[in-house]
Amino acid sequence: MNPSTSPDVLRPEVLLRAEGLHKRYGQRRVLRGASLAVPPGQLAAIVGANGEGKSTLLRILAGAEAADQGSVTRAGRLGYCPQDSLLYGSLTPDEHFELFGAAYRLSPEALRASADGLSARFALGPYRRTPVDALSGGTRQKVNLALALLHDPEVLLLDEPYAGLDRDSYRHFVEWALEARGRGRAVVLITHLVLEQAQFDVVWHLHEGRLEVAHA
Amino acid sequence: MLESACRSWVAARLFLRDVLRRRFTVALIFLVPALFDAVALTTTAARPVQVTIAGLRDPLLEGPVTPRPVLDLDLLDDGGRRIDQRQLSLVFLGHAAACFLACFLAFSLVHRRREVDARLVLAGYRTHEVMLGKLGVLLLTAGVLAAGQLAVIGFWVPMQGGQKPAELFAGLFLGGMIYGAVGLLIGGLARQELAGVLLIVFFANVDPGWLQNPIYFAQSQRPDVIRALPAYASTQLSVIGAFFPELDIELLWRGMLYAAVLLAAAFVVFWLRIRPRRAASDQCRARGHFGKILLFSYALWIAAFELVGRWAQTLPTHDLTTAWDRAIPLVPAFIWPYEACYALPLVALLLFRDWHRFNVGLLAIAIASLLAFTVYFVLPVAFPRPVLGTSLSERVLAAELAGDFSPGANKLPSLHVAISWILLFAVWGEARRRWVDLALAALVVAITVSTVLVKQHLLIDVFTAVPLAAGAFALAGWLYRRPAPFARPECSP
Repeated sequence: MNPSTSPDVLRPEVLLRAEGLHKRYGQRRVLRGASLAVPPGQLAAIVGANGEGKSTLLRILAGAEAADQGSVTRAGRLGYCPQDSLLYGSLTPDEHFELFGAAYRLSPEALRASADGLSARFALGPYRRTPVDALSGGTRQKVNLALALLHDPEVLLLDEPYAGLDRDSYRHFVEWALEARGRGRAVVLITHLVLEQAQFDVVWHLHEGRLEVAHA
Repeated sequence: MLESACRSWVAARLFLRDVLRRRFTVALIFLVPALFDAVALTTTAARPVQVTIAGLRDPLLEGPVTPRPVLDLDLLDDGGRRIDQRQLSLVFLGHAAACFLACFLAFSLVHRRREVDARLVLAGYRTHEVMLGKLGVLLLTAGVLAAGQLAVIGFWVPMQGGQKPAELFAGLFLGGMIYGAVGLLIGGLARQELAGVLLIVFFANVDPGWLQNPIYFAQSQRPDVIRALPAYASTQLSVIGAFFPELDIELLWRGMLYAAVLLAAAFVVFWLRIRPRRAASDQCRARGHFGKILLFSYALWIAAFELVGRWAQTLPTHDLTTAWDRAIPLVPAFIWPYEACYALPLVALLLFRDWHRFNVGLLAIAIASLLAFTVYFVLPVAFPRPVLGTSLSERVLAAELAGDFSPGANKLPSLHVAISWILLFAVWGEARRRWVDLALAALVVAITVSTVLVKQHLLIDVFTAVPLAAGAFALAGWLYRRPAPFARPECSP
């Protein structure tokens, strides 16, 4: 992961910037010039109808997919939580922490502290040595989310992170997101829960391939 | 470097654990060899069989002999020990089991794991660290499978009288690596798991499990096809190692070459699957555009070269061979740099940053080709062709000669040499690192030398080609500035 950087994006007011993103699958144009800029300490949501390209946009922002045109610039470390739980089925949550800790270049002490903290927050303790294939869908999603948060990244891209989470875990996630905002993290997440839009600093509506501010 | 190695180690350790925790996979590791051995023990008899051990390079087996002779293993056995069908089947099926298992384990190492691997790369793993982790698991898997099969074979086929367990192990290990690479390749390409498994069953059964059977090989109508398949060298190594004192080092090289090529192909596919994605830059789009121009020009040039050659070969030819040419030995190994010339334009395409230089290079190639084609008609040259043996290099050279014009055409000057030098002139200084320039220069020199060492050209062809390249490039540069009068072509970022 080597996010492209520019002098502009390295200024503290912008941690994530996307300009003029275009993406097409065959004849279907999913993105038609989507642009956004996320400063530190902003909690942003992307909403939109099914099939509008929200996950595609997030994948492009994360670098998991290439845009046909446009640019993405990021500053700082990235945490990406995909919509589906992308995990090694036979490995335990602890083994995932070890693997992703190596990816994030965390020291053993920092990894242990972070893994313990997240496990306590999301009630993963009893399952830390159970292969993820043997876990429930909700618990797998907690592991999926915890892996994105493990290194306390500056930029967080979360694709429906609380799908399948129980009430307590959802509440803990919201607490975590508000704390992250307080620490100057840029958090962008895709959500379908329209009732909670007031919690966000900005809500973008993805419509016909472009982002429009729905709430700020 | 050390940190990177540590990350690869962590990845390898956990990838291995991920594979071994699947009960079905572990069960297969024991069941498949047991099943194959049971088939060999129950369906074969302890009696001598007639087989063709092509890997032994027996004089009877060399050359275009049809139908191929059949050897009785009893006749070749110098230790007085009878070699029977059952023992041969155990070795052959043991090798096939190692291939099949390595293929399946490698497949399960990447398939359904591709997106997670890609996430790991997004999280900060470098692609090569993930690939090294997979390679580590594959090496260990192939080693363990080979050791297990060696133990089983050693139990039924006593190693005495010159047999070589190390060679048998090498054959089994290479078979595992070759088919492990096939499994990685299928795992990277197949979208559906069922399709992947079916492909594994097909390839592992047809090649190491059927066609490489020495008993079948003996009766085959097309042994050349069987020789070209990936499991040929490793099967032959295994059989020879188990029964004969001879050692054919070429088989070892051949097996390693197959393993290296297939691994490289598998890792290119794997890299394409897991690399981080970014929007195509302007430079990438330009490369795609000029790549299409290059491919079109390449096709056009081949068509023109063929047309000129077919016409020129009908004209009276001249043999310009000198004593110096006769003194130069045939070195078949130089066929490889000679063949590398065909890929040189594509390598150059990857290096260009200033696309005006691409245009100048293309124009220079057109000028040099037009001049050379004119000489091909004015002074058609032909000279005797070398006598070739059966090594891999010589077979490739023979294939090159088979496609050449007869009795000869398109020799003076050598366009192989001229175009290589034009490409070097065009891309010199374009790479971001100086060592790339120097490596390319070394390759062009090797290509130049190769044309005479593989007897495709005479010295005069080479000595005229280099000035032709320099002149054509200078002329192209002069001509190119006329319609577009700018002081200095602007370099793309």
